Amino acid sequence: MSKNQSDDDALKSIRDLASEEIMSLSDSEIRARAKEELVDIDKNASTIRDALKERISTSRRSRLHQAREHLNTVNENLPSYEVNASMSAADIKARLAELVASGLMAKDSRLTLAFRSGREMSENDMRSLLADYEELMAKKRSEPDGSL
Amino acid sequence: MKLPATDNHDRRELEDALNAFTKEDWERFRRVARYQLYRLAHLDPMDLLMDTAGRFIDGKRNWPRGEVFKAVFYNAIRSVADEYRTEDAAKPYISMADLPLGPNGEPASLENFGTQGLSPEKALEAQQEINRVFAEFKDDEDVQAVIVGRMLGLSAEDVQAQFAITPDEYHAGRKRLERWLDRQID
Repeated sequence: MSKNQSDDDALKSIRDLASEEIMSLSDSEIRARAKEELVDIDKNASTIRDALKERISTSRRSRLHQAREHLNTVNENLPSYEVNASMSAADIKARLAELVASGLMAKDSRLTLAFRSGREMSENDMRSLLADYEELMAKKRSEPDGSL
Repeated sequence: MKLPATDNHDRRELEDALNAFTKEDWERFRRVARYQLYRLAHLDPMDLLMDTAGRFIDGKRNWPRGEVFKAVFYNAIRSVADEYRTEDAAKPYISMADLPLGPNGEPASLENFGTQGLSPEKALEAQQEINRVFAEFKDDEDVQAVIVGRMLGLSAEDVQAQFAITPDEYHAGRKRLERWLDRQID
């Protein structure tokens, strides 16, 4: 170990011992020390709490912004109503059938019930439903727990 | 898809824990930050505190379940200060005027020089503080035992056993050291 490193370790030991001593002080002792040294602990605590509040708020806004960006990216990569407008009626029906069979949708969803009842749906209804469900699934994927 | 479960407290719990610190807690941490900024006297302890808290808020630091948050935060302050020192040591400490010219006579660049470790000034500063401590406590064997024991990596109990001092003498020695250091930093 070099002399410099040894001095640095010694310095660290001394500063750690002093830090541990501070952490061992009771509330009344730390207040007495602050009073003795004219430190305004109310003002300091208030400064820190205000800064923390701002930091927490900024961090939440940032996370929300990131989540929105992620959602936008997911939506851009998924078929939309405009995209499925180019699909044939048979393709749309097949895609809807896949969605129903996947079990990803609630058993009482409009689409599931419509398929179970064997009711005929118009092509426009099918296109609209497919767009709605693709969008719903994209949103679910982007949620914090990401469950579908 | 579900996010993997972790053994860390979530952000809401972290924010609540930070908000639950009392003014006395913050004062203790401010003083700890002040002691941990050795060789970085130009930095403000309040900034170190805010940076440390911010790293928890931003998710860059975690609070493992089962650990006391105050202890985790205390260690984080030390760790962030160490990081500052590492960054500070990585800065070149020689001036442009000291640099030799390049092989073709072009001015040399500071970027050509890597990590320098402790600068001579900082090394001297560290050495002077050590010398001052041992000079101050040359007749106080309890304080010397506390310091030397820590440098050897001994626990408080081991120091007491090895140097034949009582727990009260150990704590009184540590207190004298802290009070002296407090006066030196001002």
